Amino acid sequence: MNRVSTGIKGLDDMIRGGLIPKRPYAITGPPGSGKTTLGIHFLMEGIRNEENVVMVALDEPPNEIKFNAQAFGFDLGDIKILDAVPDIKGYRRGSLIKDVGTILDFHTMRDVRDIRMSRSLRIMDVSIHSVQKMLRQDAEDLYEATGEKYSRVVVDSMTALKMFGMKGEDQRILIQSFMRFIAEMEATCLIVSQTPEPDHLDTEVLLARGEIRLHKTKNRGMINRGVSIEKLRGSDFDETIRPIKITSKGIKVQNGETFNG
Amino acid sequence: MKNINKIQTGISGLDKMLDGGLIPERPYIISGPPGAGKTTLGMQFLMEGIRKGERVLFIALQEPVNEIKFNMDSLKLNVANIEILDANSDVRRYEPTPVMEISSKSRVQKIKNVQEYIRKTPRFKSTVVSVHSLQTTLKTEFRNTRYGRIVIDSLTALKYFCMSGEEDILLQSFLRFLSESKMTSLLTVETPENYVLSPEMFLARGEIRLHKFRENSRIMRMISVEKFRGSEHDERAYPMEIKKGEGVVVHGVEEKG
Repeated sequence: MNRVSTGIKGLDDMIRGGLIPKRPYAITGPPGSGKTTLGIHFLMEGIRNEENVVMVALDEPPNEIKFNAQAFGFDLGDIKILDAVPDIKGYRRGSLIKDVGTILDFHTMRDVRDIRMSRSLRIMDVSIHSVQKMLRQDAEDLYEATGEKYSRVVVDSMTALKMFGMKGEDQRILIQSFMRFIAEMEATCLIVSQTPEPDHLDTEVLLARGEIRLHKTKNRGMINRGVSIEKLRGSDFDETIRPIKITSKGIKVQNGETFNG
Repeated sequence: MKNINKIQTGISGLDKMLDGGLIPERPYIISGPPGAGKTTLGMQFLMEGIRKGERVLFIALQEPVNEIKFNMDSLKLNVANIEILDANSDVRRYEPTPVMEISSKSRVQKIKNVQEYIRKTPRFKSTVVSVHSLQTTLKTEFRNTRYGRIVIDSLTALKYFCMSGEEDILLQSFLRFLSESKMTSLLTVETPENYVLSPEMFLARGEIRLHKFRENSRIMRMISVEKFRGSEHDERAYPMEIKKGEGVVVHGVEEKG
């Protein structure tokens, strides 16, 4: 079985060559620990192999993602992006709320310039359903045009989708259905999520076939970063937390060393 | 107590901890955090049944069956003749389209016949699994086949995705149904990293707990028997590992004198 490279050599080494393809994985960690950067590495690796890759942006506006990635010398041009960051909410009575799925198109990162402005009359809202519908539609369009499928998907983040994309419905069932949808797309998928609380079981982490966890601690004013594999179905893996450095080329794992918090 | 015929779990260290094995025809809980080895332990329990010439059934609620097959193959466990029921719900539809209950369509098959690719949600109708439809499916299945052992993987998925409201009552009734079916069953329960007691733990006749924690940044694995109605058991926790070709292996348990 061929493994799918994460785009980070040291991380691939921790998981015996790469991820088992066509499965969803959780990327967890506290804010600023490098989750989005890891997602970009993963998508850029796909671009290098001339695969079709897509990022669903729910947390940060795409223009900011693009700007931040330039710091690492990434040219995100060929990455497809679904801008699913919700608009400013309209508080005026009777203002029309449109599902984001009905108007927004996919872009490539190349076309991303400024932040999309909220419209004054119609507010676009995001639901897990609209995100799913758009992904499905876009995957079908891609298949019709080229006969190819998406091989890599990054959802950044499930935490955001949970916060504003699932109102009044049974969250666990919606996430289960979304994860099933992702698995049926047969793409290797990274789902960005906050580190699970030790007393709590997050549905997306429960259902993910693996969890890559990023660590960030402060020690005497210094930030220490690390990466660990918490689970990985169908494969053995490096069971030690390894330190990472964020360099001008992105994330670098220090495989020989141990993270000490 | 020695006159009860106990059944072996397929893991010799665990059998010693259980003073010979499990008391048959009862439901037991296997609890532990993600990646602790619950599914693997369940498979070993079923493989032991096959060795004894029993019919055995794995009910998959949490992972696609093609992936389970792949994962067990990569662990080099021979699960070919275990029978499996794919009880994973399809992708939900949000438009009003017909929803089929799993009981109308899912069939038990041997793992060796599981296809390599994931089953796809049909274009115009979805199958959903509810605790009720699962029970109906199993009732029909049990009428035709006498299974010695079954594994439900996981009870957590059944609780999270197959019922809305009244979870505790429905779980109680489901466990009662299993007991009345007179099969020895293992039900996996996913726990958060810090162990939190949940109601289903009280309902089963025993609980085998898998522990996974970090020490000096490395993962450590242990196993303990937390509860075992009607039998003595070893109260210590023992180190365990998950090995290729063997599965869960428990270390350091001594035979009782």
